[in-house]
Amino acid sequence: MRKLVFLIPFILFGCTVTQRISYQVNKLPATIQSNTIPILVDVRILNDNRAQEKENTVLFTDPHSTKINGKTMCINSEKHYKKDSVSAQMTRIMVEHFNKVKLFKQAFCNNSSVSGYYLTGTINYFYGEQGFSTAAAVGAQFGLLGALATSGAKTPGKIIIDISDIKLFKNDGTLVKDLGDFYKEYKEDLSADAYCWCIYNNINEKLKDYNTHLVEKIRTDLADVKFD
Amino acid sequence: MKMIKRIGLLILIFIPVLIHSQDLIILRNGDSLNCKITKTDSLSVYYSILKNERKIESFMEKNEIRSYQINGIADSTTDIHAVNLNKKVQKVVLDTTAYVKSVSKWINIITWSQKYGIHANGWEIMAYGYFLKNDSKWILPIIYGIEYFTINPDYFNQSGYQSARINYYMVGLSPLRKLNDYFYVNIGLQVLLGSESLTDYNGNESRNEVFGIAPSEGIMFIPKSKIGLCIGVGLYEKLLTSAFYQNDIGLKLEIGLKL
Repeated sequence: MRKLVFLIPFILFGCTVTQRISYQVNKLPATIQSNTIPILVDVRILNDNRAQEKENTVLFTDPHSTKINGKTMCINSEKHYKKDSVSAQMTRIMVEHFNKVKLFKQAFCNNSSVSGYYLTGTINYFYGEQGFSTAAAVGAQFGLLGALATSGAKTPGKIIIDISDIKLFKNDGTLVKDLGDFYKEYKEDLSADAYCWCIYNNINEKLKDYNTHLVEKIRTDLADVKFD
Repeated sequence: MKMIKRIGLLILIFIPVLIHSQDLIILRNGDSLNCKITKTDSLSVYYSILKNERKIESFMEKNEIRSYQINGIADSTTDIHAVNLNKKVQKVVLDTTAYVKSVSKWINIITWSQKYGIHANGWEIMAYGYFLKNDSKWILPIIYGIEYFTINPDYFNQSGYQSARINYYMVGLSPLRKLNDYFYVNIGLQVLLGSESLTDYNGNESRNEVFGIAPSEGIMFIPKSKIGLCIGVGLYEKLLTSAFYQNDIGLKLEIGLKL
């Protein structure tokens, strides 16, 4: 008796069309209370200067799956950040992050009614690109097993996050500290999926890393500032 | 005159310090970065650098860094620079084993197996594809295969049928557990779904749906090299609702090529 048996792997990956700039702040490590800077700070919505940088143009003109220098790439296209502006979303998550790690006594998002200080900054880059994953695309054709088997797929990527002119002012407009420009370029293999949505999650994860380090920078830079 | 000599000597002493006011970070990939290190902590090195005539501050994880060297005058706001107050130049070589980064790579294996069961013998060709991660002991391969076997006549004759044919698909999981760099335990469980065609001695033909399960256990040798020979040995079992092939247990010898 003869039998032919095919082991058939399968299926797929979910996808979300509207993307948010967010990450879980609950998992951020707790901080030592004594490191808290004892002021109430209003973080003003960051100025958005991205359109002035040539490299960002593709984010505003192309879909999330596009060709860059002839190669199919996944980018964090602006089209899918529909609910709110990038700068508002970045500011909001930054404030959540600050509060979770108790950087300041309390941080507010664009609400100066009770705060004695305000923080400003300008976004120059919030740019993410990564190669399209053929392995993940093939895996997705074979259902759940295929998706599971290729869930570790990674492709080379580049993420740039750059906020300049970070300044802390008193509410009366007196400059307390010029914190300068904080820039990070990540170049590494990033998790990939079959439909180019992973880049949004990847850039969110890098933003978490960026904000974590930004907190440390602000803490260090303000360590020698005496507050009333 | 004596004073002038002293001043000259002091200038000579400080010139190297002034010239070498930049710090140096050497990355694990061999690249280097001239910058001003402003702070270090347990995981990161913070630095400032001129980029397109803009002074920017950035950071780097220590898992990317082989060593860094701090020159020049200390900045008392950071621990590492506090050390530098006593020592103008400090080179720090990182213990890179403490900062190993997670990496994964795609592996392909094609194998041929000879199967010896108590009720059927046959062969099998399998293609495995999986991501090998350096920080995970479990691997979940994606597998394609084709199996061919012949039921032993003595066993088939007990069934009361003149001839029979069975076709089925197998779907399931067959994870590999890493024992060391070369050996992997393979424990699998597949569900069988198919149908069989039967012809009895009166010439009556019938057709049945067939369901079953097929566990397997084995051990595989997979070389670390990019290309190499793979060898495996294991047991397999089958339990089916078939009218003529209800169960089987056997030994599987596997040989293949890692590509």
